[in-house]
Amino acid sequence: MSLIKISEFNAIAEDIHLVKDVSFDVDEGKITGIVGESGSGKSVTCMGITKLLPKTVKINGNVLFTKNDGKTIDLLHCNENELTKLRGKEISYVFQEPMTALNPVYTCGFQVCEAILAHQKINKNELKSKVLNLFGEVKLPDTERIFNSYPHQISGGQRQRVMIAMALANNPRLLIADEPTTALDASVQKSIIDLMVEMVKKRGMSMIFISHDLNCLKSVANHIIVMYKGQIVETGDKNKIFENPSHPYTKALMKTRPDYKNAGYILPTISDLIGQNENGEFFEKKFEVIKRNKNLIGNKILDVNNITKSYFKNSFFAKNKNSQAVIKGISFSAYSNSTIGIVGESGCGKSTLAKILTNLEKETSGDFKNLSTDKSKIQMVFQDPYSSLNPTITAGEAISEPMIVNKINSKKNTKQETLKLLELTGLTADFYYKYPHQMSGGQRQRVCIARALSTKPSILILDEAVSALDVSVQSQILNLLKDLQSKLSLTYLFISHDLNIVGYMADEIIILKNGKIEEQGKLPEILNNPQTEYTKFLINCIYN
Amino acid sequence: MIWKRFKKNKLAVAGLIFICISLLVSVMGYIVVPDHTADVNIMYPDIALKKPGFSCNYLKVKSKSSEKKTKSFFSFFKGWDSDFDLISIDTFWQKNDSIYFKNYNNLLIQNIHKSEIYNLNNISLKRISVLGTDRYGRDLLSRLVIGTRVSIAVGLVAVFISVIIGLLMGLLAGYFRGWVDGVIMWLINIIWSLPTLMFVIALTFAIGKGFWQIFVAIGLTSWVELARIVRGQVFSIREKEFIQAATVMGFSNIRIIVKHILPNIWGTVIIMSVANFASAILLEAGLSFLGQGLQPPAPSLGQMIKENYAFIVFDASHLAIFPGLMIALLVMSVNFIGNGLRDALDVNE
Repeated sequence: MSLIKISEFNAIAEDIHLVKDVSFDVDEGKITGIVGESGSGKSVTCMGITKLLPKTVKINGNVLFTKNDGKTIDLLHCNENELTKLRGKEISYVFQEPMTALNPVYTCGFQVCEAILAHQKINKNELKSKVLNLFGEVKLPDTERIFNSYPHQISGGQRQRVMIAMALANNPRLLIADEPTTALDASVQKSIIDLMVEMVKKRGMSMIFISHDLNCLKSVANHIIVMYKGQIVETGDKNKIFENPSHPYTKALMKTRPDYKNAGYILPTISDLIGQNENGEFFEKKFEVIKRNKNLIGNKILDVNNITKSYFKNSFFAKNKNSQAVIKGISFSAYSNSTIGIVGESGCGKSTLAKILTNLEKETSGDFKNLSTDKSKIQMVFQDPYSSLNPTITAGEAISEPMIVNKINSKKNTKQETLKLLELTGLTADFYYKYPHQMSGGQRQRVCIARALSTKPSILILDEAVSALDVSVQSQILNLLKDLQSKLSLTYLFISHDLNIVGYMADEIIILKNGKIEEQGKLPEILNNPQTEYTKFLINCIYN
Repeated sequence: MIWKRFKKNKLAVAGLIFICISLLVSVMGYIVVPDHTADVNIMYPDIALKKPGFSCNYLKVKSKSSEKKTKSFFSFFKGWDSDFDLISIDTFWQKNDSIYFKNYNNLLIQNIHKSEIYNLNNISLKRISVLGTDRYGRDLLSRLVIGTRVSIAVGLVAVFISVIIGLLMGLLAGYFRGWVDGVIMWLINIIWSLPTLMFVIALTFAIGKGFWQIFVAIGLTSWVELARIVRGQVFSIREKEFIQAATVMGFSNIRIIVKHILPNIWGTVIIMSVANFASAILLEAGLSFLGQGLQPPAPSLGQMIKENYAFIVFDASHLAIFPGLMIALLVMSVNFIGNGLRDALDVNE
């Protein structure tokens, strides 16, 4: 029996169809996964069915929900009062960012209590024991301490567990999870997903699980919905989707993923794989797998020698300085025309290492030598293309400024050189006069890469450079990076938390844990024959 | 784009129009007012405390003062003496070589010799005091215009000083943090802990009470808020990755501050300056009212209220109401403009 039945759901903002004619059912006790890129309408749909969207977005359609007492109501025709009674009690949400979804000025326990009191009358002692039980159920350690902790005092994974406890507090019948693990580390992701699936199964609830990552749904969903540009392009049973996808977009999604196995090949992008004819129907394009020329690894270009970094807690009253070591002795060498992948969880010191190599911070001890012949500085591409470009400066200015400041070209040549860089990174000349807000995320990241290349560096640090991008854009940028490397013989230090992408990009790999190198070596050897427990665990998290 | 959004806010546009008119009139100042003598200080005791719209005939006689300032470039700022003096009269007639006249509201007949008349072809003139006269018979409209001019000048100069100091301090504190921030915040906290009015009064004791001293005193106190807000903004922008990127690219600190941080906080600075403009006008009015601002006879809005507030209960309440209204309208317009700008410059919308 279906718990919620959505038919012909539309969301329109300023005459643009955000979601068009979406219909699907969620059966009782079943998990439905929705996969799609940003802008595919997956979040809009799930917010829209309980009218959580801003008033400027017009919605219509039918959303029939079967309540606890057996009555069926149409959620889109309920008034705000009725919906408030439903939200959190019968339908509850878990969001992507656990830090912002919890209020930082209240303790975790208080917030869960509040969620319960909004829908149930319960006395004080019972309430607390109920919350502690819930915390135990979501496998939080030391429940009493967490009850009294503020959100910033616990880790990201624990915060997400608190969020799940809050969502489960009133025994809802439907749980809607909107990218609940995207903001978490790879190693934590798996345990959170496992927990959610276990909870849902144990309580006989239904769940809608939204993700941009098809692989992530593999171990979760019974039923998968693929969305693209506001429409459902394919729905079906999990096995059917994975083993026998019928829609070109679904097939493209699977092929475009960077992976250790397709490392030597040019990644197909979504637009290489599918097209749209005049009637708006999608068709499959022929795509031939093209093998890349193997990089000839050159001379040693960077020598990092036992770098450590500690932060001192400078206290005004206390005389003794507490130091906290973030990096505890890292040594490696990089060779020209090759890529070193640096993998680790958040807090393992990988970003601090990048900052030290680009002189943003000073190392506490140890040193590194830039052995490139022209002694050009090490440049860096940052994670977030939205905050790494100055919003008040055009792309052209952003790219030419480093050349002017570092006196690399004469004024005349600078514009010429800038246009060349734009072309090199796959942008047209008219981007010279565009401001960041006029560009998409992928285009911004291309500008960032062009800017980093403007000083002609031989070493480029890519700090999570593709993590914030959509799957289809990600593959384009990765291809671009590979092309640039063979054209300019660049050395990349590719920092990422995603072992899949590193597997595609890197020749060598360094696995960091708590500021120490856990394992380092040639990529295939590490992946096929991991030595340490931690590496085995990481690989297991991703390649299962 | 910004103008388009600003235009939507009717009140802000109205405020802008009012400020533009006030600005225009007060820039022209002595050129447009009826009484263009320095500080608008010609007194006609006979016609004191007249209602708005009062009109009267004047006899033009040769000026008695021996030393006469010539009209120069500075007259534009300070006003200039007339070539003739005026005597307010009811009627006059010519007989032989003498001119006989009756003073305004006075039955006594007086006479003067023809030679004392400034221009025999044009012996008298009629003048309307649009807003009436004050207790010394001075033209209220003239004083109001020149007073407004002082207020706007105080506002502009105070904003200028406060933006320069506040921006500099805020940028330095926000960008360099550490001990620089410590020192600047210490200074800010000290100035903030003093009541503004008391501080300005103390300053005027130290540097004197005059036109320029008021500018400096108000400018020196109003940078504090701007500095704090700029500091906060710089804190958050500094954390953006494009600043790190600029550092990696080898840009100097000055370049990062001027080219990459400053353009991102202009909106805030403009809005804060507009607010400072309004509070500077109020502060000047308050100071003048307390007698710590411009010294009489120089007209300023606050001082006009001070001179005339006693008449509110008598039949000449307009003497205090007009300057009061002027202050209120100026401050309100400026605040409306500020609100309009804030909405127009808000990138999040």
